[in-house]
Amino acid sequence: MPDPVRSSAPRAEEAVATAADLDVGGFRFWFVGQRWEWSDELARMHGYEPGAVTPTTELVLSHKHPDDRRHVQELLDHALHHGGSFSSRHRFLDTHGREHSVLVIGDRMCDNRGAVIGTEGYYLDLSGTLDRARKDVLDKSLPDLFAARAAIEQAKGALMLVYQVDADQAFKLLQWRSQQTNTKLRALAAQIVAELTSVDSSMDALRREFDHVLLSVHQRIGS
Amino acid sequence: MCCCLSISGSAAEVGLLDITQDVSDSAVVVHARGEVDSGTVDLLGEALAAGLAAAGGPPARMLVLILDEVTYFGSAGLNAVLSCYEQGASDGVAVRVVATNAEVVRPIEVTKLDGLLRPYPTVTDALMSGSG
Repeated sequence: MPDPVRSSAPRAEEAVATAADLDVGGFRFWFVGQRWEWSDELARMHGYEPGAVTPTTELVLSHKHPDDRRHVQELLDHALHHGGSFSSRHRFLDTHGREHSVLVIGDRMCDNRGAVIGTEGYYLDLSGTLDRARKDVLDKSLPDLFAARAAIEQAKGALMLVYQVDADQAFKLLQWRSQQTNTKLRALAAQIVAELTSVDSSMDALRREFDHVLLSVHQRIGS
Repeated sequence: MCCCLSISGSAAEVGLLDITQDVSDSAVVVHARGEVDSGTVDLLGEALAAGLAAAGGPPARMLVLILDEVTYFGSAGLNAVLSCYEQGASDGVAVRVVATNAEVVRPIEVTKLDGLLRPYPTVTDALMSGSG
């Protein structure tokens, strides 16, 4: 059954106000007992009506892409080995056999003794390309987006590089954070751009890679 | 008395996880090598169940699980080992984990399960720990 939000033509304010629109779903995964918790959105993303199933490792495993050796649970095990938040691309099949390409963003879940008990985070569905008609509505109805286009495009460029996503997907990420934090997209994008220089990571390898791209890119432009 | 049993995966999984079992007078030693993830964990679970059965006696022996050569260890493996420990506790079999590799030791530590599954550096250390 199609999601009602998807099948009706949304008004612009709905388009930015409804989390379901972005196909973002939350999860929690407890290591001991391998217990899962899905938000209603994540259940829908897998093809279930909210509350219709209890997610288990077996259920999650049944959605594994046949070409993948490991499934998302192994991704979440990252928190057993490394601190800090993480993100990773992943794919799975929903109950209709449709492939979903998702960005999984997670962080450690700890108890009050400081023991790492699991992982919590979000799936961002990057496969359903933002419906063109809806995007037009969004663009026309939100002059803010036009006014702030430069900052948004710059922030998108940064996300595209960091998360290895395309422009639409980068936009979805921004939209998601905007909704989640009830912050204007324009303000969010501008702040991301302002903070780009303070991102602490080992930039040397990236810079070396990019040096090569920058110095040789002219040779690869089709005539 | 000594017997040796080797268990490995189905055709698709050969080489990912290999498990051997050695039974001596004092202990049953289960040695796992390779990757323990959700695809191979059933093998480990079966090997641990067989190990517990062998260790149950009489006479009761210790079950020593060597994970030093495990190259991938996630929550699936952690649960299998924890279940084995708990089953052992209820069957009166002391279960000892031998591991010094970060791949195995770190998950046990960050989850603070090292109180239960204290990894011993060597089989000798594990055997010397007594069966308490």
